Amino acid sequence: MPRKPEPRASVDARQVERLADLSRLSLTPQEAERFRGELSTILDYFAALDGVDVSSAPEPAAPEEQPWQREDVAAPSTPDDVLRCVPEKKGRYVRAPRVF
Amino acid sequence: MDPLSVKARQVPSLVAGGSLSAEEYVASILERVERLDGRIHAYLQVDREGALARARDVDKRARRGERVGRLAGLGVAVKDNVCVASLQATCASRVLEGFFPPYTATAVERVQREDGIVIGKTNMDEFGMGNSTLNSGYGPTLNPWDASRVPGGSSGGSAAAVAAGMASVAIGSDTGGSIRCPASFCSVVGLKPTYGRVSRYGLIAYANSLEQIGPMGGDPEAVSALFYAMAGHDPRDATTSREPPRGRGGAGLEGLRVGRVREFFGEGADPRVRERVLDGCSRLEGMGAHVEDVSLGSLPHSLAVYYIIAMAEASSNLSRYDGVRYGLPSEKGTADWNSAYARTRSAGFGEEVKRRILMGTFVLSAGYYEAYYVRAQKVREIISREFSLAFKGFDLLVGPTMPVLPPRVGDEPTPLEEYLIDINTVAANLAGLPAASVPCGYEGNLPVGMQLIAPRFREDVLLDAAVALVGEGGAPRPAEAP
Repeated sequence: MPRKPEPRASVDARQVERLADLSRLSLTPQEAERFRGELSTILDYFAALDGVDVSSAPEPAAPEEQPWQREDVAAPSTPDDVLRCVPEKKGRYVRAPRVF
Repeated sequence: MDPLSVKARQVPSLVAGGSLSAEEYVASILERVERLDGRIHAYLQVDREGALARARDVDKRARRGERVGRLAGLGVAVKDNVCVASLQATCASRVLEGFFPPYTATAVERVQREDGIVIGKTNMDEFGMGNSTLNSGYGPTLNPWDASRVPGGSSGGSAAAVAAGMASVAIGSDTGGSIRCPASFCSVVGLKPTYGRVSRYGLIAYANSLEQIGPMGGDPEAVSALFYAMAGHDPRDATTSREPPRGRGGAGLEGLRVGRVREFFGEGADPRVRERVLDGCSRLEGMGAHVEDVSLGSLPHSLAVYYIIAMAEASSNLSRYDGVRYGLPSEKGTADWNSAYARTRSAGFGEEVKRRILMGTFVLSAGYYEAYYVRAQKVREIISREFSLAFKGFDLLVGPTMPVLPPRVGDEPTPLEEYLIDINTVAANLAGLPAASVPCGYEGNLPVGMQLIAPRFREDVLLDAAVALVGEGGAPRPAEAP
């Protein structure tokens, strides 16, 4: 994978639209335009890291040994308390938008 | 009674001995909240009845000669991203309106077990994203020292509550400075513990690899008591250490090796802040510490590293807010899942939250992940190593907590300008180190805080230093507005 895709530090309107879609945010045209400019400025600032020599740092990885893992034991749940937080219900069912 | 007439550190023993009524003390705090909070807006919710009931219970046990806890009677303000069962938890976001968590955070549970009394939930920058407490979905908190200034953030409500005497101590959380920044701007002591020292079970997540729950307050001895009550292993948070917390030596600062970090006094620092913190360093010397300059060359990179990692983690954490299981109802109607989900999120999240989700999604997306996220993790490792090296020669590293005085409420910085003032606080989160902000002077009536950073699990050094610097009287309080 290329370390530095070009162009690097600017975001165009299509990218903002794509990011908003991936993030499940619907933006007004004004918001999208404002974020486009701000994101570009912030990415310019992040570009300062390009100059840092990282050759001495290892590739980030999750530790393989996980001694803190515990047995998966069933414990009492609190379904009534949890259901109380649900904004729209039908009886004890959670009402959700259609998926298909 | 006037709750300010008693030092917070004395409250538990006075209550245990029966010479102070917890109920009367808590009622006097609630009276101050009623009188002052219309203007300051530190609290999003006050649990008047619950607090008084618990206080009465403590008094009853004290009268019977039964054991009362080490925090008996202390009024505790809790940041709104820390769950307390039966109190609404919004993280100052509209998206969580109506969410009543079914459980209590371990940190709060431990405080309640020691008879600390929750006064209410405090305002913050939405989900912890900001350093002003202006980014709240429920209106800003103002600085009790100067209501035209911000209290700092994101734990601005907690800092303002203790500064204005509307709580004895407070619980905050710190992802990149969110305890230390408002502690500095409101002239209180704030401690971000070592990563893994305090359980985060019940802390609503923003950036898991960075954040910690910690204590705040005007009286460093009470802050210390609150810290030790909350600290320790919790089976419900696998990142907590099994090592027991190290107790305080209680010694003075004689012989302590203090490194004055050059990069913290860099070009962005306001000269007035720099002067006050240098005065603070002289006071440390006066108390017997050896102060020397030290340089950590990678620190200027910490801000970019922090924001890349924090935004990446935020974009993942905040995907859970769908308006279906809790919080703001989605506009279901005939909309399909994705558009209902997007509509809820767009209505419920504030601007800064959206910005960070978008940025985080960007740095994690295919083609950019290596260049931003992986690279940031590597620089993070380099910064951590540099701290380890510095701590071979020093017991404590110091500098200004914030490079500026508390900004004015109407300043409206650009997002990047707002991020830049976090430059001195984020490194401790990246390296998982304990760090505190301690009041160290004033410019006019505006507080200046000194940041102290210690090696991992050496909160004892930070607390001893805070006690020595602040002194017996506790931190000064703002004059009460007419």
